[in-house]
Amino acid sequence: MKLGDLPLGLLAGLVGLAIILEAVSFPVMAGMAYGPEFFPIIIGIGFCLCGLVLIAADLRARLAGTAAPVLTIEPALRRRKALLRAGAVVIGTVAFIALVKPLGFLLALALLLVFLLRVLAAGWTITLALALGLPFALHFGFTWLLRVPLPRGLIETLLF
Amino acid sequence: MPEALAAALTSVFTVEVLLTIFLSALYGLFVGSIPGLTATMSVALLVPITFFLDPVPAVAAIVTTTATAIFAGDIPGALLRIPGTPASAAYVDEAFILTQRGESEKALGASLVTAAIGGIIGVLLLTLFANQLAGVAVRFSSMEYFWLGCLGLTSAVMVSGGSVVRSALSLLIGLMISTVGIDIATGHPRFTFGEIDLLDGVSFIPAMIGMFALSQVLRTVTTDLQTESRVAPIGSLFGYMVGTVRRYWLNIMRSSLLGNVLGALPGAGADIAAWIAYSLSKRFSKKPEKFGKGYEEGIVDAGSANNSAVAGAWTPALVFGIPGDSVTAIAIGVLMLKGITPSPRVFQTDGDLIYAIFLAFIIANLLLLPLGSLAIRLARHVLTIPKRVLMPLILVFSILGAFAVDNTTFSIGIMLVLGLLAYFMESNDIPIAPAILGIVLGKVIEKNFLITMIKTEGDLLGFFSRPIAAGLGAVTVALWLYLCLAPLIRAARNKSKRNHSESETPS
Repeated sequence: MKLGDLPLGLLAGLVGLAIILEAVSFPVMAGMAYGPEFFPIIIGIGFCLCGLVLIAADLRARLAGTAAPVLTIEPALRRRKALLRAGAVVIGTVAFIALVKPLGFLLALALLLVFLLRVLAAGWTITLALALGLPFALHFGFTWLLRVPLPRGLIETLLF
Repeated sequence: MPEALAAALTSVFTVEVLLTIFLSALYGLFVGSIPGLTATMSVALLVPITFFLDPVPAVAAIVTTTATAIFAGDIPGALLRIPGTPASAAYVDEAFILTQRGESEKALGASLVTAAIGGIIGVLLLTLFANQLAGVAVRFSSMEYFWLGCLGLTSAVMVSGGSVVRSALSLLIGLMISTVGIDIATGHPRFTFGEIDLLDGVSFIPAMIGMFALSQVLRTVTTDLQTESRVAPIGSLFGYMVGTVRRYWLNIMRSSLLGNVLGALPGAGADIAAWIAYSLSKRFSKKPEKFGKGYEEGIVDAGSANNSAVAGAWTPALVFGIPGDSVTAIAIGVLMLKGITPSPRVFQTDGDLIYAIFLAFIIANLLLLPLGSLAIRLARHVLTIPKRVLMPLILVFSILGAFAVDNTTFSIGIMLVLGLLAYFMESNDIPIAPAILGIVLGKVIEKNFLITMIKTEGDLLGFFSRPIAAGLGAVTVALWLYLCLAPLIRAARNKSKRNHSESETPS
């Protein structure tokens, strides 16, 4: 998704204004010339300036008749399949965050692998091999070798 | 120095460290040779593991992975015309034309031997420069660090290529991310949206993993899941390697020096070093007409420059805590977690570790010769791993890496959000590197600004009150003026030229 200079500039300007509005609400400490609001305000002004430069460039291009379209979608993202795959990556990650504590690491990871590999149309053999093998290998590596505790669920309680 | 060197020797030549270097070299070669997976990404994915290693093997792993991944990027570049890492992009056509003529051994032999030599020269220069620089830098105070931080950010905007506005936007995004969390002076939470997990700020490693790995997964699953590659077998490289060194030793020396200096500039990494070395190589070559038609001289220059740049990036990272590229930005994070703060005194306080880093670099580059040859032979098989299997695996390792750093699922969320942000930025031609430097340097700049303001009781002219600070400040301000005014001057000049030509042509 590629924005033209005009919408990108407007977006930058809005972000800048939001930052400045939030920053001026920070409490001011007596006796300090520059408090917690100082840097965010400078950053906010920077966003606004970048936004103005982009908007100006867009208007100039428009006058010359060479302006880029307001929004271009890459050919890759126009195919439904590609969008579905990208969606699957995002949804899979969000679902993993939600499920890893109730289900435990082993089951959540196996489900994530099956879901992603099947969405990307990998064969069933490789899918099952990875979904059954990799969670255990990683569980071993992280809990035993690196001593990172991973969320435990039913399978972990039964096995270890 | 001799004691530190002896201590470094004993700490590097242990089974644990040597095994770590060996495994990291294999890992770096593997990841680097897969198109789309960059050296930075391979290091970002490695970081959670380094947390649980001792400082020396942890840093050795990072150093080895980068050095080998940058070389390995040449392999798919030469064989398939797809650079494995951006650092190989400068000479990918040159190498591929050689392959098409059936001379892939010539291209790969040249890039392997120059990578190893460039890397070693880079480390030797690093040893030399860093120590000298540290001697000057011990006298630096908050004012000098403030300006160095600003100078680093400015150079990141200037060299990142493409439009200055977009680079500046990227930088601002990074700076903005760095302000999230409790304010250092007053303890007031900023931009945390009431989220307790954000009080400490945006966790850096999940952010890096998201921006480099997740965005790449998204890009790959939407674009080129289909491409399958076939690669012809490759013959012996040894003869070509010896021939390259004998013929081009002067080029290797020159470009290693150049690459090292460029690598030390914040924001300019191995990829920019390779591009500049390639164009200089063409300009100074005795046979410039052969460039672009399958000629190894450009590969020699760019190949030694990018590996030397990898070491150069460590100079400002170790002495000032200002990363020379995205990899050293991660490395600084790892060093801090190990209780080692990069500073000019690091040679006194952690001298053995610093020399251990240098030694690890040298070992990694020596190992590159045998392991690199092996990787070239195995490349045929690695390059045929289907992406539909690889991408889910990278996502799994990204998730696990983000989780392991702070042991919270919130970090996975950070990785996801910043991955989507990076995907959006890249789609809009906004480079990622300035944002990374912004995240790292934002806190440095703000902290040193506030310290200076407390020292000078709010007098901004205090930033010019010490000679070195004044010099650095003048350079920085001059660069800012140049960045702002150059486009205006250029536009005005174009306009007057156009007016001029219009008045000359009778209408």
